[in-house]
Amino acid sequence: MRAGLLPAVRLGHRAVRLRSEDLESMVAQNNHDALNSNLADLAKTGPIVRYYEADQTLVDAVGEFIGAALAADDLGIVIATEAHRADIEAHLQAAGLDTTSARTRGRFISLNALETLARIMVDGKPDQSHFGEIVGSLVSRATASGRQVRIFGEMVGLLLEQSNHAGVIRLEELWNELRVKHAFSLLCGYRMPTLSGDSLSALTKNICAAHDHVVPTEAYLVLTEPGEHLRAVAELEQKARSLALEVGARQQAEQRLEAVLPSEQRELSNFIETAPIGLLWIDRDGTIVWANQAELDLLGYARKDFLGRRIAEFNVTADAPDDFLARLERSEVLSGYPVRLRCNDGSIKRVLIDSTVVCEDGHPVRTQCFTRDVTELHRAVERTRRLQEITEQLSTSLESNLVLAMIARSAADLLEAPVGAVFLLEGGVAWADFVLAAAHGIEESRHHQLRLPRKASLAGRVIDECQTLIVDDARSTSGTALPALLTGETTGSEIAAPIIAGDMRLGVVKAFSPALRRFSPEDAALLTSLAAAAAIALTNARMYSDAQQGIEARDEFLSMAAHDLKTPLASVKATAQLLRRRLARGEAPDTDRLIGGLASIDDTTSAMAEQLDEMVDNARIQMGGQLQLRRHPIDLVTLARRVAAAHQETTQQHTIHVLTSQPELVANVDDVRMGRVLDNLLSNAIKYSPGGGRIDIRLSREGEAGDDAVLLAVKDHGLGIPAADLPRIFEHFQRAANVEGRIGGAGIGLASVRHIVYQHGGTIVVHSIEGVGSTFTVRLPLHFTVSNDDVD
Amino acid sequence: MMSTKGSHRRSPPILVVDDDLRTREAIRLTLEEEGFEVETASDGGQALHQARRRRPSLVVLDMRLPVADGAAVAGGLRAMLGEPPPILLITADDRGESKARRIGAYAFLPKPFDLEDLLALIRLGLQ
Repeated sequence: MRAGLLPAVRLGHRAVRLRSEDLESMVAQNNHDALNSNLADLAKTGPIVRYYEADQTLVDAVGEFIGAALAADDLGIVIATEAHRADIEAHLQAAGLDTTSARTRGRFISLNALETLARIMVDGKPDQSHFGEIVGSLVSRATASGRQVRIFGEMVGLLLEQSNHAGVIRLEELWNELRVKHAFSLLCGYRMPTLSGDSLSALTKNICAAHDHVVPTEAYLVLTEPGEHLRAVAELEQKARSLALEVGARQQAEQRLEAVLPSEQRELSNFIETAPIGLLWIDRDGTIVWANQAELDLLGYARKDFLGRRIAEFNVTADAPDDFLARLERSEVLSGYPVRLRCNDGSIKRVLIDSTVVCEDGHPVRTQCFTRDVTELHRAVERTRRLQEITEQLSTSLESNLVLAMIARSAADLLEAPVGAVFLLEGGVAWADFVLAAAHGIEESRHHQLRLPRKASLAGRVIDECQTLIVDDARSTSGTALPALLTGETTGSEIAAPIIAGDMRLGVVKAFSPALRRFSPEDAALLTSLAAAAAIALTNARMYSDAQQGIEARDEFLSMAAHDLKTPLASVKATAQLLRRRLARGEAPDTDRLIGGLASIDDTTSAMAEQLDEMVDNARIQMGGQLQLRRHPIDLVTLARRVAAAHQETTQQHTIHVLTSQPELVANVDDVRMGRVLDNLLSNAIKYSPGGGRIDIRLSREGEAGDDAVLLAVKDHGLGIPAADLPRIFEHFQRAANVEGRIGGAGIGLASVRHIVYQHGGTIVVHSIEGVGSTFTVRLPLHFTVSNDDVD
Repeated sequence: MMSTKGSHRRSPPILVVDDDLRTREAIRLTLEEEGFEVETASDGGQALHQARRRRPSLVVLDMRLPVADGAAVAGGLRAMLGEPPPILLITADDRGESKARRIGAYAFLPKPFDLEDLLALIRLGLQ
């Protein structure tokens, strides 16, 4: 249905308004003709603004408006868009009007709104003088004809579409000014969809205010029932209100979001940027398109040097360099994938990479990587693995020397230090000094020089405290001995761990660096583990060696024992047989000879009994046991003289002297065992001076009362002992290299001598010069109380 | 002491080498009672010295000797005399048999031994 226009009429300068009831009734009666015919009148009274949605509506309305003028041979002026001009003209022609002749006669003027608008605009605003020249003169000429003039103008509509609201108002004003001068009817058109938004409601108000009559869009013109208009208004009102509310609410929400979102965004962005895990975006061809700070810090690059490069440039893994990249290219999701990356400073870091793939429209566009630095972890794992390897290796050897060398090398290796060494307590005695047992990183020639004092050394402290200790700088720590010994200066860093098997303190394992470095708690833990493994390995090696030696010793011992007993047995048997033969021959027994023979048997068997006792003692000592001493106050001077006399009988080439300033020296000793000690020392003295000579036994007393001791020295002038053999002379089964043949087997060895002396709480030392002679000195404290001393 | 079993006086003496006095004497007395002439030595050096002085007809030799042991004596005898006299090895060492073979002894007698066995072996050796 065609919408009708509510006409308004203006006559001259007087506004004549139809009452709205009249208008309404006209609408109610659907009296379009009345409407239209009144339109002109209405138009005379004031400009009409027409809102439209569909172009056709406008065209029809304008067609009617102008058509009526042309039909009455009045003037019609159309200032419209090209499209509308054409449509309007078509409409007029369809209505049977001859627009061509009308044009010729000056009754129909059609102008292009855009062009016309352009001509009247100055600096984006409609200019009064231009408007006057172009539009004003046109209208003036038109009204001068005396005919009625109807104008449809679309320039304001165009300005609105250009959002030139100020322009719209100004142009409306100019039209109104023009209407003051000339009488014409004006119809303006505004497309409704262009009128939206808050800012335009004000404009709409202005437009409506600028027009005396307002015609809403066609939707509302189909309402015919009188009450419908009011209802429509009420509905519109309600909708407007609710829309207003909704808009208000949405505006608030937007504001809130705008307030919140930026900060949330900021927070998220900050979170990602400062995350402690490296985050990285790689596009399909492996180019790094984004990285967070952690990733940059991980590899030590500035952002500009990192972004845009290909991830392949940083990938080190030589064994599968393409596998990682291939997976990335396939947009495969990675989970804990190990990769080695090269940092800016050339170092290599081990990382684990997890990744996700981002797709758009089903196609992967980017891989997002999460990079975890596991370099330290890997290093720790590697070291632990290495320690395991070493521990297994240690168990493959039962040879002490090999085990010791392995330990020294492992210490240097595990702790990445130039020097690794094992120092053992000399003789296994807990209060003795340390002797170098094996070293890595020290020239062989210096090995024998390296002894560490038990007290003034790191090793000593480690043994005392039974824990691993670190010295960061020997300069600032007193009581370290190794640095000075090794480098000549008190500088360097050391770490040492005690080697303890059960409650036996064996020694220490050390690592040393002349260049200062910090040994970490992990280093300490590693060394402690190594020391524990070393304790076991060394104990095993020692036990094995002892067992082997024990077996050898037993064999040798048995051999020797048998031999040593068989010899006197032979003489006993021979003597007994000799006597039997004689008696059997029926000879008159020579009593003296008989007595002599029997006495000889008697003595020999006694000697054999004593030999057996000695052998048992020796065996016990060799097996590491303790003898049960039977101590009595014994005059050592008398004992010395007795033993000296006995030995003097066996040799004519030597002279044995007992020298003392004391008439007697009484000590609480086991006279049988101490007798054997003297026996051994004297018989050695005789054996080791085959060319004969003087042998002195010197007895003296030293020290204050309460701390005094007896010194017993046996000195010979014989072969002496080579310096190289001296350190081991008191060990089991040692024979000096300068002794020819096998010298004697009877009696106790020096190992047993030392053991017996130790059990008496004493000490024995030897001084010897090859080719000059030897002196063995026994020191026996006079006030020694038996205790559970650790004697090996 | 004169032996009733005939005189061996003109044959070279038997040299008895052992560092144990009682053993040495028991052997000497027994041999002399059997009519043998006996010389004794208590160490290897002495043994060689005496052997050089008077070539023995047989040597009763102990292994464990001071100065020079049994093996050295055997070697020395060989070197000194070309073909050495028969050597009877007496020793308490339980590896005596192999030692005897090594030094070229014709027999070996472990200690403690029977005097009768000793005599038998000596007579065997002198043949």
